Amino acid sequence: MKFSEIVNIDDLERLCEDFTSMTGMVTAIIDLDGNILFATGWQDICTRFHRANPITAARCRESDTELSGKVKKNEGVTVYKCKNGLIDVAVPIKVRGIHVANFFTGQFFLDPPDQDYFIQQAEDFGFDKDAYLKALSKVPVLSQEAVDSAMAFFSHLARLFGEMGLARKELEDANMDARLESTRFEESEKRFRLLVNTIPDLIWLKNADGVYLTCNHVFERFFGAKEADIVGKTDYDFIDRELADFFREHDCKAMAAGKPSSNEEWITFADDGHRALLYTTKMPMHATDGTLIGVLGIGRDITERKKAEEQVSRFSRVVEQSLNEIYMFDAETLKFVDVNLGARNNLGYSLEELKQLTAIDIKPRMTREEFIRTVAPLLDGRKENIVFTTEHQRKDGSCYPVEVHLQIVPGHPPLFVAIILDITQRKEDEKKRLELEKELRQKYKMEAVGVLAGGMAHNFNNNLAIILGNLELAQMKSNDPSTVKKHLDLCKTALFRSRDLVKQILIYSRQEENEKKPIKAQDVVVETLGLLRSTIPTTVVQDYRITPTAQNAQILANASQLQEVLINLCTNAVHAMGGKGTLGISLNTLWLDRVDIPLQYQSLSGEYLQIRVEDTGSGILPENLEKIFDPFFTTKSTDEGTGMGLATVRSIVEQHEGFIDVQSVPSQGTVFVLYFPLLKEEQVESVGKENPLLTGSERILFVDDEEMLAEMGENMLSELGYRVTATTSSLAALEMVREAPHAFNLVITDQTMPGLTGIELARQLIKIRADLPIILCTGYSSIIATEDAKLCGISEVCMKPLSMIELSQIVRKCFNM
Amino acid sequence: MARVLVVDDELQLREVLKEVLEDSGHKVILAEDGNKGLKLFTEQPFDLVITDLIMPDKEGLEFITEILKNRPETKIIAISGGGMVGPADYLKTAEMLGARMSLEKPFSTHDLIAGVERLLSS
Repeated sequence: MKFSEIVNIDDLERLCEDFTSMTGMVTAIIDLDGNILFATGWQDICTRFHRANPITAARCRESDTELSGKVKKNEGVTVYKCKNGLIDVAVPIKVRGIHVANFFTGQFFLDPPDQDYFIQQAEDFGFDKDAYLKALSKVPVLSQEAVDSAMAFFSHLARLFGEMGLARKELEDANMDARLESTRFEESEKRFRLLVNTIPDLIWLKNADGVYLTCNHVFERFFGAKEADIVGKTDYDFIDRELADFFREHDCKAMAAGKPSSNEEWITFADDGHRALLYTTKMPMHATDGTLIGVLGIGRDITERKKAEEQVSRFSRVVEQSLNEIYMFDAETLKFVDVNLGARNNLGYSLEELKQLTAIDIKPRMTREEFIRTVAPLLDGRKENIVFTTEHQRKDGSCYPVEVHLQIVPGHPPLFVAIILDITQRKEDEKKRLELEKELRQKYKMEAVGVLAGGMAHNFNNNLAIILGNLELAQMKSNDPSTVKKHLDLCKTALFRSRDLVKQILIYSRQEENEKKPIKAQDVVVETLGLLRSTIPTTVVQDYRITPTAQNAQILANASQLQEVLINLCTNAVHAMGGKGTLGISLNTLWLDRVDIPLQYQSLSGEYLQIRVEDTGSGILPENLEKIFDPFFTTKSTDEGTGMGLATVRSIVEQHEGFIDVQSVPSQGTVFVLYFPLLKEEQVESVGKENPLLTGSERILFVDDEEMLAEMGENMLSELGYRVTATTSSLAALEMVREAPHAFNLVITDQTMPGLTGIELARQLIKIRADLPIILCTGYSSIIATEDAKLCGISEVCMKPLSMIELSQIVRKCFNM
Repeated sequence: MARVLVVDDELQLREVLKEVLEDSGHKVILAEDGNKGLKLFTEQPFDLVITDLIMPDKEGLEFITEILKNRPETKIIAISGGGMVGPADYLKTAEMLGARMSLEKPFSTHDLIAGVERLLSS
């Protein structure tokens, strides 16, 4: 409690001023914080001298503090001689026993002052002595009694003021509280009305007889009337009887039950005529003393929500009934949560059965880890949906290929939603298409084989001429063994060349195999040019160039496919030149950035091998340039070509992750430029390494119906250290193994033999001893594909004639398997 | 002894022909294509020319034409393994161009020597 807050200080000051002018006594009231609330009649000696000089002013403050301290302890009047020689007096002011301020008087003397002391003081502090002494003379000298009675008077007076003030303040506070209370109530009422009117629901209150007590704005719209007009009336005043009865019935039901009652009802708003479906709750309302006030109603417009719900439910019905397969499963446990009819029908499971399974359980070709890896981009948010193919397994164990469209729907738990397409038909169509394509390409290849046959014949006849010539020379000089050996060696070389030639044409005409190996591109190019040289008219000049970097360049390729590409482009070039001109083939390596690669190719930047096939022919018309790679596009007559050549070329080049570019100037020539990614150093295999002669001591049975070949096989294998039994009869060979199944570690057999063929023999031998290694020698590899042979128990298939080195290696390979 | 020019791009066949002809007592000069053969032919006298037809650079038919243009009386034997290549039968063409004889590879050395002797004595 602050003295200044409960007392009118101005009134008290005026009173004190009057008192000062009557008695000459100084007054002051100082609150407990040291604030001088007012002061009257202060002596010049204090104001002009003592409180003006820094040293004496400091004494004044010390004296004030000391006096205040004493007052706190004393109940009554405290008399104190100030440090500048005057008397001060203080008395505490208490209101209802609480010390709130101090009343001061002073600046007087109780005895006449010691003039010398003050003269000394004037000198010490440099005061104007006359003026100082004049001020001193104005200080009154009062009796103790006068002081005491004055103090008692003021002390009472101050207390009286305080108590009056306090009483007044209490009265004011009480009034203030009452006003605040009333304002708060009004505001609360306003807020409540605002709240009720802001709520988009209809709100109303009726008494037990159905008479409206209040309602909100939305409700006003229902009746098309203001609240003031509604209050005091019933439903029967606004709506038709039937609906009013319905409302009344529900009101009574809620009151009877003593708890909320809800129902849905269609109503028509009177203000604009729109209809709405309401979800209405009616609650009996009681006063604080428990007496029933009536029924409080809340009606919520659920028209839109109901519509949306119906849409959702129609949509889920459609999803459920759809014959497309739709699955929902927990993203953490992968357990099915919901699976639609289409999926259940195809799988043959019921929903209950499926809910016991996970998405992995019906994917026989996928482990949980693989699945998690596949869906990782969905889980970490990199992708919004993913598509992959796998298989689904039905309840009856059968499988069907599927394309899975998967997305994740966040929630607790997050769900995977999968739409599954049964792609059985698509797979079959694809397979048919591939077969058709393969057939066509094979047909095209056979056409090319026809073209090559001429060249083959030339090369082959050359070799035969060499062989024949050397044999005749050997016969003539049979008395000189070293000459005979020389001629036989030459025969052998020519013979191997012929064999390789046959092998090459067989490889070329064989059905496609996609195996790619690191190869030296130069070897394939040179080999192909050799083959072509005999085919193309001699009026076409071959101009072959290679840069030093391309000489050892290796690419990952299928040599026979690469050869097919080159033969295609070269024969096209010769055709375009009408059999006369220059066919340029050049090899180069270069670095390509992504910008150097045509947009339609996905090839990456890096080092490439460039093969240019150039001609000086008729060129390609600009309007045909875009179409030349289309299958069946040809400018040749129907008996000359299928139009598959360049389509095949491009398809092969793309299978090798390369690309093809073509530039052509009509009547000047055309350049096809092929690019293949070069193998990096670490991928390069040493091509053409030494083939060592491998030896052994195992027992081998050698079967060939040609006596000479049987003998030769025996001799070669014996040279290598093996213990060999040779026979010209496959039936005899079978008997030998039947009698002693473990007498031989390996059987090498010819394919074409009377009695049993090689394959038939192999089948019988495997029946006797399943682990017996068998090598089949054949003159025509495409009759027996290696894979088919392996199914008959044959370990290796090799082409005749075999050299000693090849024989030694293939035998060791069998033993090491 | 006659001087024989043998032109063939197959090294080993050249060697066989050289030996066979030398064994029959002839002097044999070898060339690997038409250009080199033509050069030798203009520099030295030959009694007989044996030439392959399908060769790089200057092929046989052109070579025969040029030789006969210079010395129409030259005795030429055309040899080829090509037989029917495309629409043209090279050996027949060679004979039409003026080769006295043609041999299809592979041929027996007896046939060759017999032909050579027959031509040289005619």
